[in-house]
Amino acid sequence: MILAKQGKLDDFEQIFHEYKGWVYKTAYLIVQNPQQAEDIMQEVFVRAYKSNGTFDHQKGSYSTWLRRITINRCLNGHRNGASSTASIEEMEEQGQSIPDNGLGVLDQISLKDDIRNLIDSLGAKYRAALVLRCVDGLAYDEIAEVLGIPLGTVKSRINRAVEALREKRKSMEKEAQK
Amino acid sequence: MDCKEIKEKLISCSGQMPESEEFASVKEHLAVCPNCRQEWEAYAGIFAGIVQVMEDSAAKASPSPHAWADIKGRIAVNPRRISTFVAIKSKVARFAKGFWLRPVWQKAVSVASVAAIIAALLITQLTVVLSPAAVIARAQEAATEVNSYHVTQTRSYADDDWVMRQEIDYVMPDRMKLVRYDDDVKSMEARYIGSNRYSWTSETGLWELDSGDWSPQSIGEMSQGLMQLGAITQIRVLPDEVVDVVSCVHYEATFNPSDPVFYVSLMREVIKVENDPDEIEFYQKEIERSEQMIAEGAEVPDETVVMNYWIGKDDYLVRQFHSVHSRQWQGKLQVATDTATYSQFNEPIEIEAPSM
Repeated sequence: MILAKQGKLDDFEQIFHEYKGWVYKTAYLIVQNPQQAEDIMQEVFVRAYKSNGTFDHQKGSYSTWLRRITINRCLNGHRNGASSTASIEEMEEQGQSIPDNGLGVLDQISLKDDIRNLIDSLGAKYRAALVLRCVDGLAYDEIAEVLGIPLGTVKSRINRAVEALREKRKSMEKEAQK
Repeated sequence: MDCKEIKEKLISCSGQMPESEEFASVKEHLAVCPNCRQEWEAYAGIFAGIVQVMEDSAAKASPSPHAWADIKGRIAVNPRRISTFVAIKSKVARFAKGFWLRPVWQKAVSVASVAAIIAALLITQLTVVLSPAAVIARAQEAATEVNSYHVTQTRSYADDDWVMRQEIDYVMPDRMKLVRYDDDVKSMEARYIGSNRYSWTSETGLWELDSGDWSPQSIGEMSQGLMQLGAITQIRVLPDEVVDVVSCVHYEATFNPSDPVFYVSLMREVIKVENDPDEIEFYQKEIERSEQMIAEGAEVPDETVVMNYWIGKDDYLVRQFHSVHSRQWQGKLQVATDTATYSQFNEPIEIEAPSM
């Protein structure tokens, strides 16, 4: 890994090209808006460049550090998703499952479309955990490190998100059978 | 291991059963429990679907081809503590350099600032015939007299029902408070005091302090926009209007921020007032790059900013701003609308560090 020192823009350009795809993709999947993802990506690399002196390789890899900056930027200051980040908790309190975004059961024919709608309705912090788990393939303890939250909270977020998807799917299947 | 424990294990393995010894008992259970096996198949399907949906979504989106150039421009911004006079020049230069290198929300406020200055200059030209140099000097002087003010800024997109609002206080030279609302729910607050940035988000509910090279001045103060004056050519004078009980002139300006011809004009204006050799070198390289694009007949992105602004006829202070920014983005037309209202000019505004 080439670590750019502050002021060595050419070195940092290599880092940018190495990680830009991941940073943009992650931001896009979490905030679900290309313009915001672009803004976040640029802010992440500007911050990474200016903060390189604070990176301590003994505390983790550069990619983990960059992941942390990206996720934090996605969760701090960007707009929430289609529903609030508290949606799952609120709906569980009300004995409800994830809303179907106003689409009727007959419109939601494929599992893929169902999941897309359901992911859209999740809050950003749940999407962030799912991205790290399902797309990046990180283990729960690695996700905890990136998100800076306890291991139990990571499990809880992923389990609740998946469980909500599962319950929603079940209810749609029942509706479809009527 | 009972079915409930098995279910938790099934979710934790994210659709792919590990070969580890830990999951040997899970496999054994699935072999004899049809209900859990059905659950497993359902979860595996959901996880596979999540991966597929996310990968499909990500495959359709890619960073802007200009991302690295934009990032370099933003990195090149080197905020520093300086005297008021030099600060004005520096801020103007930073605005010019970073107009489309900044996040959209910063651009929006910056554009509002530009509008204020341009409109002030236009009014001056209407009432007294002045040379452009004299007009610029007068506008600079007027802008520097504003020591504090408040801005309410909004942004929305045509294809999205999301509305972002920011309430921003400025106290020159180095304090700013920004409170952001997404769909009327407070999502962030930031206070810039000198080189410190205190930030709070609804996600954490906690204040965090970052000490570094933060530059609150670069986020939309009124004196930033002068350098665009020479570059904006299409300006319409519209009928006067009253805004917030203040009689205002109403102007409309149209330009393409991605047009290299426009950008070259802008950079030349900046160089006239820049003293820092490094900054001048940066702008000269930008001019060379842009002139090369012009010579090569590089395609100019179809991008338009139409700005409307309302300026007090007596004090030349901007009262209201409206902008529609249209461009092609990810293969489709994106239309962003920004508004800003300015108030509390030179009124006492206190911005203090939060209790942490």
